[in-house]
This record gives sequence, C-alpha cells and structure tokens, in this order.
Amino acid sequence: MALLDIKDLHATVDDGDAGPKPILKGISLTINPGEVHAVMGPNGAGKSTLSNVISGRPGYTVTGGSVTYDGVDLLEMEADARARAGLFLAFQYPVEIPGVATGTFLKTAINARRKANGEPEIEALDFLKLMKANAKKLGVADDMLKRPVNVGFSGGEKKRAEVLQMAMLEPRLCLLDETDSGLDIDALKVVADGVNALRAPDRGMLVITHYQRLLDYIVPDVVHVLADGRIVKSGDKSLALELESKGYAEFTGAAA
Amino acid sequence: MTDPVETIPLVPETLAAGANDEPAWLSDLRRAGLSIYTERGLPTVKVEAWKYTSLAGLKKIPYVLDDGGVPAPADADIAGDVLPLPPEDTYRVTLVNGRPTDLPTDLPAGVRMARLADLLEAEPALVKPYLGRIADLSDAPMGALNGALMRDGVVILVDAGIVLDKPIHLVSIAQAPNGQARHGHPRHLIVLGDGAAATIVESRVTGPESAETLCNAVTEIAVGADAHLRHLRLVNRAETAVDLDLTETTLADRATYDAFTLTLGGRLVRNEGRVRLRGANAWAGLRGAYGARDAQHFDTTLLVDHVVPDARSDQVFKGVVDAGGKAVFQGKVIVRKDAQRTDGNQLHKALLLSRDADAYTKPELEIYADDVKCSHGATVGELDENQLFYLMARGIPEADARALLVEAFLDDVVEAIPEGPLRDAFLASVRAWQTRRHASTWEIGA
Ligand SMILES: Nc1ncnc2c1ncn2[C@@H]1O[C@H](COP(=O)(O)OP(=O)(O)OP(=O)(O)O)[C@@H](O)[C@H]1O
Ligand SMILES: [Mg+2]
Repeated sequence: MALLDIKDLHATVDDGDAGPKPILKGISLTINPGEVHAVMGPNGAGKSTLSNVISGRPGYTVTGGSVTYDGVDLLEMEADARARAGLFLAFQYPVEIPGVATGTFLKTAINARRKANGEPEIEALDFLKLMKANAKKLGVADDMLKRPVNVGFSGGEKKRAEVLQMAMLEPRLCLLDETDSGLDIDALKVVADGVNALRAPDRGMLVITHYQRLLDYIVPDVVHVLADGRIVKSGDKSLALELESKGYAEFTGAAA
Repeated sequence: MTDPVETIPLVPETLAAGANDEPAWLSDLRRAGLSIYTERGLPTVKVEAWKYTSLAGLKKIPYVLDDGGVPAPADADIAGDVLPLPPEDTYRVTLVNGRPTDLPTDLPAGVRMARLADLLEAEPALVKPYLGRIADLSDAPMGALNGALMRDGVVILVDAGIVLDKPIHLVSIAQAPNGQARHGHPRHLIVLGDGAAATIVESRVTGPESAETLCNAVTEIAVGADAHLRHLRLVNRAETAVDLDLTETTLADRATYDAFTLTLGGRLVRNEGRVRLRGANAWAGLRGAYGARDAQHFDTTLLVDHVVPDARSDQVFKGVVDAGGKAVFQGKVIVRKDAQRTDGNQLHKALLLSRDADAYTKPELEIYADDVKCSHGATVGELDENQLFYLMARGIPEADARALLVEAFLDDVVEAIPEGPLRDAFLASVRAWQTRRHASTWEIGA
C-alpha cells in the first residue's frame, strides 16, 4: 500500500476579504514506503501550501481530490491526530513559543503519541538520554534545549532543531519544507546526515527545496516540479540538475 | 426621605455609638470613615474608579456583620486551595474572616505579630502612629467603611535591622457557616523599621460549605529606609466570595516593596494597590497574574504615586480570561512636580480564550514633572494560531496545546518571583487552576 496517495488535490487559501484563492490546482502524487520524493518549483508555486494541507494547517480549504495516508483519509483528521498517526512537518518557518521549554514541549509531544498508541509515558531519564543523543548528532548545543521552543535560535539553529524533533518523534512520513534554507555548508551536511539516518524501508519523505545541493546529500528517488499549483514534470534525480542549470522558465512561461 | 440604612447597606444600626471605651482618636477615625461612606454610599459604575466593577449585586445579599467566633476549618478542608508551602518553612497564621485565630510563638526577637483587636484594647499607642495614617481613604468609600467597622486584623511589626529568616504565611479564610452570609472588614498593619527585611505571603481561600462572604479589607504598610518587603498573595476564594481589598504602602528612602498577586478564585475580586513613593531611590514592583472564567470578575486597580525624585516603579500584570469571565485593569501613575528622574513602567496583557470573555484596561498617567521616564503598554489578544498549530503538528491535542500556551503566558510573569519554593508554590497554583479549568471544559464538552 502507498504511504501517501494524493489524487487530483485542489485547495484554496482563505485570503481575507478577497475570498478563497485557488493555490493547488490538481496535484497527484504517490509516495511508497522507503521512497524519498523531492519537490522543487518557483516561489509561490504552492509547495508550502501542499505540505500545510497534508499536515492539516487551518486556513486552507480542500475543494477537490483526496489525500490518503496508509489507507486512511487524512483530510478527515485534525492536525494533532495526523501527527500522532506518524506525520511530521519540518516547518519552513519554525514558530517561536516563549515560555514553553524545549524539553517540556518535546516530552509532551512524545507522550501524546505514546498515549495514543496505548504505551506508557517515557521515563524522564530515557527522554533525557534520547534528547542528548539526538542533539549531539545534529550539532544542537545543550543550552539551546534549555531555552523556550525556538526562542532566540538563529535561522540555521531552528532548522537543526526541526530535524532534532523529527528524529525524536520517529515519524513514518516526513515532510521537509526548505529545511536546507538558512543552513551553512557544514550544517547542511550535518542535517542531511540526520535526515539520511532516518531513511528506512517503512518511512517516506517529501523534501521541498530550491537547491540541487541538498539532493546531492539526500538523494531522492523521484523529483517533481511544482509550478502554479500543478506538478508539471516528474523525473529521477537528474531532473534536479537540469533545473539548476535551466531554471523554471519552461514551466512558468517566462523568458529565461 | 429614604431610609439611610436601606440606601447605604452594610452599616449596622448599632454602629453610630462605636465601641464604648475606645480612645478618642480611634472613635474619630471611625466617624471619619463613616461620614465618607455615608456621603458617597456604595460606589456605583458612575464613579470613575468603579466604572467597570459593579457592586450592585451586594445589595441583594442579606449579609450580617461578622462578630468573630467562627471556628477555623480543618487544614485538610482548605489544603487544595492554599499555597503549597510546608508549615515548618513559614511562620503560619490562620485568619478567619480577617481575624487571626492563632499566632506563631517562635518568632525571632524584634518581630512582633499581634491581633489588632488586642492591641487596640491593651496597647493602642503601638498602632496609633500608623492606623488610618498610611492609607488615604478620602476617595475610597469601601476603604472608609472598613475604617468605620474594623475590629480586628493582623499586625506585623518588624524592628529596624531585623531580617526575617522565614516567610510569614497568612492563611486567610472566608467562612460563613450555617447558610448565613457574612461581611467583615479586616484591618491589617505591616511596619518594617529601617533596614528590616521580610517576606509576607498570603493565601486567601474560602472554608468548606460557606455561605456568601464579603471581605472588605484594608492593609496599611510602611516600609522604612533601606527596608525590603516582599508581599506575595494568592486569591483563591470560592464562588461565594466577594473580596474588596485595598492595600496602601508608603516607602522611605531606598525602600523596596515587591508585590505579586495571583488571582484565580472568587466571584468578584477587586485588588486595589496604592503605593506612595516618599523616599528617594525607592522601588515598588506591583506585579501579578489572574485567570478569570465562569462569571468571575477580577479587578486590579493600581495607583503609584511618585512623590519625590529618583524613585522607580514597575507594574506588570498578565491575565487569562475564559468564557464568562471579566477582567479589569486600571493602572494610574502620578508623578508629582518635584518627582524628577522618576522611572515608571506599566504593562498589562490580557489573553482572551473565548468570544464570551472581556478585559478592560484603563491606563492613566498624571505627570507634573518634566524629567521623567514613563512607559505604559496594554494588549488584549487571543492565543497565537501559529503557535497552536505548531504544537498540534507535533501531535499535542488541541486542549493540551492551549493549556501549554496559557500556562506559558502566566508563568512568564509568575517568574518575577525569584527562583525557589515560593515561586514553585505559585506555579503549582497556576497549574492546579489549569487542571480544574481543563476538567470543567471536558464536562461542558461531554
Ligand atoms: N494566507 C494566505 N493568504 C493569501 N495568499 C496566500 C496565503 N498563503 C499562501 N498564499 C499564496 O499562495 C501561493 C503559494 O504559496 P506557498 O507558500 O505555498 O508557496 P511556495 O511554493 O512554498 O513558495 P516559496 O518557495 O517562496 O516558499 C502564494 O502566491 C502565496 O502568496
Ligand atoms: Mg514555501
């Protein structure tokens, strides 16, 4: 069974007084367990919208099509239930939450999932060990874990922290929205290693990026080009190289 | 002509005489209070200071004046509402309707704690310099009524240079037994001599199976030169309680008054705090948090009066209002003509959790000096949708995510209390309130 099956998905964003604005205009995409799919495309094409709609962010209306995760209708579930079912969105813009300690937040998230699975809460010591081990792997400093969620983190630190959370929550479907942007060259490698470590036969990934460089590290099985709310081309990893040299002109109708 | 007792409730017919063998100064004080109250009557919303807080409901309740004699309930009956502080770590005093029922016997030398009633009878000279002289109640009819009716309260006198080794914990219980509503007018006095330091903590709760209570308290506080008072209060009364509290503090040179008030329970609670900065380089911090819901009305009314130059003040309040709740914040700063180089800050932030929740903010600045630094800010907002989604996107159920954000909002100001058991006790009270709020939401949802 496909891990994620998107069929002819149409979605609008609620644009205040302007009313609903169509963003996704018929997206079909299938990710099987073990596969990594990359999505590339110009600014404003709808990449973040796609990841937001999959993860259940309020503010969007699905006007057509379906999204099935592991055989169940994802669109019927609230965002928190989707996450507990194994979905993880690494945010393009991680949110700062003053007053909520990073540790408390992660523990609450882990326990919410455990509770849903009928498992006991994680032992305090096990949790600390898990957090420390993952932090070390991703080059996240100890003092960052003591701070409130994302507060005072640099752009790159926020992205590392997203992958740290992902590693700790062990999702089955990872949506990474421009996790590479804001990372320096060394950090890119560290984060990519972190992501690669999570590649597994039963896990799928959707990696949104603007840069072919990330895909040198996280080698995708399929590359899609998303432009103006549609997937206009799919191919293997060589498509990313081609885009790097030619740009999106042929898909957007603009002059190169 | 209308019957004065009817238009001006709460004043017992027998009052006019006052207590028989009182010193003249005390009778004068009562008369002055009574005349202010009779002249102004129970404040209505037409009075600017009471614009957002109506006392009209009081007239419908057949309160009788507390005459003492109500026994203290068992500790176990109130333990859930009192600040969780181990009794051995504090000097603990229990008050019922504002009257101390027991007093610590192990206070260090230089610290005196007594019942106001006892002092008025046996040693009136001890309180005469302070009583009615710290608080200016000419514009406060309810405070003036307290002056007319006061019988008892707690008096804490700390001699110059004495630093109290443990906090004093006043466990103040409102209790109206046998279904009979009661009103009481406790009068408290706290005096710190020069260079003294003390922490006074108060838990205001309601006893089991209490009928309606009205606690109209006045506290007068004098902090001497170089003295430091930390004054932390939890208001955690039941829905039967109306609490009108007026605390006025006067500060001498380099004195500090660090007040924190957490209001979580009571039907109508007004915490009126007034500080007169009469000493150079004095500092007053009036901070606090509240959580109002289900027809609770919490009013914080502050007045910071910069009388002399070079003093500082900070007012910071944060509150959460859930369905049915109403919050009022009125903060006034006066900077007198001579009070140059005043540094006065005020901030109020309210978080509305429901469309059926209200918060009113009224900042007032009266500045007569020219070289001052004063700031004020007020926000009334809702939970941040992006933060909420971020938490939910990690699998945290919506109710828990909201609770985390609410707690973070309140904890932020509770952390004005320095790290330690006192801060932990206040954080624990916030958490217990959250749990109760949560539980009742589930009931409604079910
Ligand atoms: N809340 C909103 N209100 C109005 N328009 C919106 C809203 N959210 C997204 N849009 C619009 O939807 C379109 C798609 O946005 P989206 O963020 O999905 O693009 P993207 O492909 O992720 O772009 P980028 O590469 O810049 O991150 C854009 O034109 C954007 O302006
Ligand atoms: Mg985007």
